[in-house]
Amino acid sequence: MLYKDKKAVSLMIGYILLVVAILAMSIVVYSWMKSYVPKQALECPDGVSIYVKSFDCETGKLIIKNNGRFSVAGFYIKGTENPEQEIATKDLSEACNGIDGKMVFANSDLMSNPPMNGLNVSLWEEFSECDFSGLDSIYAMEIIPFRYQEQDGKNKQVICSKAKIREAISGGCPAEV
Amino acid sequence: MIKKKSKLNILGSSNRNLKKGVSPVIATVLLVAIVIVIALIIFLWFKGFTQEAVVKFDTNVELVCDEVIFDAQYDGTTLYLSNDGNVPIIDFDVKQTTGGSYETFLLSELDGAFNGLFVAGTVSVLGVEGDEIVLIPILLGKTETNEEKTFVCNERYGKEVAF
Repeated sequence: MLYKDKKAVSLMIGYILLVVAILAMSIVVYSWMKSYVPKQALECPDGVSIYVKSFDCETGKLIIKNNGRFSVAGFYIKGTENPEQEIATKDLSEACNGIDGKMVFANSDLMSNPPMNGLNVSLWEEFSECDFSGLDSIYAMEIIPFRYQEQDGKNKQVICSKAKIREAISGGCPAEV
Repeated sequence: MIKKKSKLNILGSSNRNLKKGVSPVIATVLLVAIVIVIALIIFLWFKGFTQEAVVKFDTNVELVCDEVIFDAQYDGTTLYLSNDGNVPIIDFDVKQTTGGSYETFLLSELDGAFNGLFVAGTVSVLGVEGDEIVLIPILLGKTETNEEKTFVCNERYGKEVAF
């Protein structure tokens, strides 16, 4: 007789509630966790390397050569304004007639699809328009190459900070009087 | 002798034809509809408990902090910063230690002209004082509702710069 007085949820409703709860929680967890799936970071390949073939402070002639294994599109050029400064913060691209804060190699075509990384391996390019005469003396130059790489169907600029080079300029440029 | 018909018999034999029920097809449809509606309600309710994820480059911004590369130098009066990575840094959380005390502030609060350290960007900041400075990058991401939101990276991604 006691059995008839006990109350409980119908089995059917119990199953429905279970399934519903599992579905709802799985959707919530999925939507929250999917942003934590790591994606391939955009990185410059390890074989990128350029160096300053020559630099003449008086004429402003700067020659950059690609001695790496990958072509590059251009570089950022910065200078230090005192000899003790370790990090170059002065943007020198304007002094070298750069555009948008960067120097682009002549054969690079940034507007093409995909953009062309114009300085191929073993080639060099001369920038003969650097004029530091209006600036305070520059004691070191830092040159950071960049290239364009495709990721997720888009061409993106990648800074190759591992290939950063630093050239000390003894006596400063322009030379201190 | 009158045979007493049990109630059960009466109910069983005479009411079987009067029992009504739902068609199995309709029952299935109703069940599925109920499941979907209740699942939606619970999902919307539960969503309020989880923190909205901030995303940058289609990845959670916490993971992007790992890709931040920057360099810093402090000469006692000027702080030199350089962004050597591919992640723009919108601001820095500065933890400045002087003697036994320290204070924390945003770099943009110290220097109103500082508006971020973009990719390949460099900057010199005056007005920083202290024996030791810890710089923690702050990134800008987007929420699910496309709203921009800043995120302070964990202190382990910070850089200590001593004078």
